[in-house]
Amino acid sequence: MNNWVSALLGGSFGGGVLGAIVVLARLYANRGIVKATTEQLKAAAADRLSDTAAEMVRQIREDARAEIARARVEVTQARDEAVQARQEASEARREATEARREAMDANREFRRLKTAILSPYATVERLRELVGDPGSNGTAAAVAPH
Amino acid sequence: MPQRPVVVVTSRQRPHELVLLLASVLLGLGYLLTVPPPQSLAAVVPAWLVTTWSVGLLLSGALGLLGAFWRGSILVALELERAALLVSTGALLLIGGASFAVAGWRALFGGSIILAWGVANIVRCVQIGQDTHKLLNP
Repeated sequence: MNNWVSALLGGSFGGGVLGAIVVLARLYANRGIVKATTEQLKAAAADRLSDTAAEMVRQIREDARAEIARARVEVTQARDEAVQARQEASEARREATEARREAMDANREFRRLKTAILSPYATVERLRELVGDPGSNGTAAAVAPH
Repeated sequence: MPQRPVVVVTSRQRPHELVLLLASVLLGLGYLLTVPPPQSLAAVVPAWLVTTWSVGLLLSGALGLLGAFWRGSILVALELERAALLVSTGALLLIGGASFAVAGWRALFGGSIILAWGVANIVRCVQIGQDTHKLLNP
């Protein structure tokens, strides 16, 4: 085998080893810069992360405030609706009482008319007086009450 | 402290590279301890260089794995990896070139794989150089 092939291959291997030595030596020589840069990178990352965390907290706080405001509005609406419902129930109760009273009045009037109609002393004039009809011959005014 | 942009290095763990680095450790150990050296290499270079090549394989694999799993400074990790890949590239050029020198075209497949591995190492070294440059000069 040619010597130049051996030299070429050995040289390529030696080049690789030499390159590695240069890289490691430079790393060692610049260890101060490397350390400082690493600390800067860590600090920058921590700073950026803390900014992100603060932004997240601010966003969460804003969301919570909006949610509380929305809940307050809903509570107010619910309270108004409850008041309105109570008013409507009171109104309905009052109307029911009135209707019952009117029904009792009507029933009383009906009994009065029925008693007057079925009375053995009932006269046409008296019945006319009951219904508010004075009669066609003007005699109703002369009817004497019982 | 002045504000500086955060540089995110996203490509530290690469399975092909890690497996080949591990293979380098095992091959280096094997050739140093028990396994006879590759015939092509033994035919081309002297015995001491074969031994050095085995040591190179072992060291490059160990150094590369150390850099890949380094949990300290990212710059140190990258530089360890670059140094390992440079040694590995030299070792691969040596064995790949020896294969072609001895077997000619019959070494096309194996030799090409070995040389491709070396070229990939060089590309990775360039990547590391760019990353470290960005880290040191944001």
